[in-house]
Amino acid sequence: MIIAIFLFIYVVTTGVQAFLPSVVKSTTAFGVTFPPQQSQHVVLTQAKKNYSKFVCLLSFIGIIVIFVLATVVFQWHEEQVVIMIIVVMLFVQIVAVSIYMYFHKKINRTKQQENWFGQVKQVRVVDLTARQRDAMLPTHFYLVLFLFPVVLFLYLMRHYALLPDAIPIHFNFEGKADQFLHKNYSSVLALPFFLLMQLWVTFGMFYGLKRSAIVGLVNAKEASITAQLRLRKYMSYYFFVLAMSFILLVSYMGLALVHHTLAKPTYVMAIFMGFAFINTLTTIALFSIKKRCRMLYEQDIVSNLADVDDDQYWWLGFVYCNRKDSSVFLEKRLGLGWTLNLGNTWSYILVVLPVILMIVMGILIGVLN
Amino acid sequence: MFIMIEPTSSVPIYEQLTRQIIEGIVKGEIKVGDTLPSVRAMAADLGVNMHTVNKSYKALAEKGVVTIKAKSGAVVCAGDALNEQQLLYLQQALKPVLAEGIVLGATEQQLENMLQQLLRELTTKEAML
Repeated sequence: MIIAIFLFIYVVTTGVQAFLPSVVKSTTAFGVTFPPQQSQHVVLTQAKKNYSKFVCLLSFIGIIVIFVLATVVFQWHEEQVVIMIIVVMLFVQIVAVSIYMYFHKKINRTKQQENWFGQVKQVRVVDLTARQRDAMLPTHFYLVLFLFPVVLFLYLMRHYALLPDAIPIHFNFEGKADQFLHKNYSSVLALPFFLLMQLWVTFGMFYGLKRSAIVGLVNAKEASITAQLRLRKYMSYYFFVLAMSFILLVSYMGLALVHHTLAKPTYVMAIFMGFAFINTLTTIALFSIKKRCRMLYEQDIVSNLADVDDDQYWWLGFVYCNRKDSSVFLEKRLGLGWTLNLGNTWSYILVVLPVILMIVMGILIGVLN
Repeated sequence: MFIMIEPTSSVPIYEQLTRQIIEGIVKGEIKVGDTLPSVRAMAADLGVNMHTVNKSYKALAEKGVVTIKAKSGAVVCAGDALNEQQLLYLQQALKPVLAEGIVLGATEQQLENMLQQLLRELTTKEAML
C-alpha cells in the first residue's frame, strides 16, 4: 500500500517536471523571453520536445531499475523500496533541473546570436480602463476579517477560568489531541496569533495582487487583459474563502476550549475534514480557472511588435527581482500563477514577514513545551 | 484605451505617456470628465517609478488638459478657450521641428501636406501604432 502511494507521488512529480516547460507564459521558454514572432523557432520547439521526452524516459527507466533491484537482485522490503523511490525521484528532479539549465543557456545563446529583439519593437501595453473594470473584492472585506482574532482573544481572556489546564495544539488522525501547552496567558494568545498571521498572509496575497500590474500582451491586447481581470477577480474570491475557512477552523478550536462539550473527537474530525475539503475544492477550482485564464498567443504573429524583454530581472528564469517595479506579484514563467517580486519591500511586508513570524512561533511553542 | 510604452525608445517614458493620453483625448477615446488611473496603479501597470507617472500627470495639468483634484485624482477637463500664451507655446514647440524639416530640404508644400495628414490622422479613430 505504502509503496503504491509513493509510486503515485513519483509518477505525479516526475510527470509535472516533464511537462512544466510546456505550461509557461506564452512569451517565454526555459526562462528566456522571446518575441512571439520567433515562437516557431526550431531551437524552442526542439528544446521543449526533447526535454519532455528525456525526463519521461528517465523516470520510466528509474521505475524499471527500482523494480529489478527490489525483486530480482536484492529482495528489499517495503521501507527500503520507499527510500529507493525517494532517492530516484530526487535524482530525476536534479537531472531535469540540469537539463532545464542547459536549454536555458542554449536558447539564451541563440537569442543573443540571432538578435531576436533587434528585429522587433518592444512595447508594454496598459489598458487605461482596466482599473475601473477590475472586479477584485474591495479591501475592507478583508480588513473586517482582522476583527476575528481580536474578538477571539478577548473571548478567551474573558473565560480564562474555564480553559483547560492543558491546551491542545495538535490533533491526530482520530481527532484526539496529542500535544498540549500549559495554560498561561501566552499560550492562550497562541491561537488568535496563529489566526492573525494566517489572515495577514491571505490579506497580503490579496492586497499584493491588487497593487500589481495589469499588463497585456501586445498582439492580443483585449483578450489578454480580459483574461487577467477575470483571474484577479477569482483569485480575490479564493483568498476570501481561504481566510473564512481559517476563521471558522480557529474559532471552533477557541470555542471548544471554553465549551468542553464541543471538543468531541468526532466534531474535531468533521471540522478538520470540512476545512481540508473546502480548501481542496477551491484550489482545484482555482487551478482550472487559472488554466482557462492563461494569456496566450493563439495564431501566428504578423506584426513587428513584441512584449518587453525583461530577462535581466529574472534569475535563471524563475526568480524575479526588480527594484524599479512596484508590482508585488507577476505572472510566473514556469507553471501557472504568480511569483513574488523580491526587489519590492512590499513583498516582504505582505507575504514573507508573516510566514517567518509563524515559523518562529512554531519553534517557540516547540521549545517552550 | 490602450497605452503602449516603448522602454527602449529615445523618447522618455513620461513624455510617451503624456503624448498618448493627449492623443487619446483628441481621438475621443478618453472623454472629458474621465478620471485617469491613480498614480500608483498606473506606475504598477507600466512597471515604472511613481515619479515618472507623477511627472506626466503634472505636465498634463500644466498644459491644462487635466485638473488634479485631491480626492478623485487626475480628471480630464474641457480646456478653456485657447489663450495667447498657449498658442505661443505651441508655436515655439513646432518651430524646431519645422526648422529641421527645412534644413533637410523639405518644401513648404511637403510640410503643409504633412500637417494636413497629421490632423486627419488625429481626428479619425485609428490605432496609434
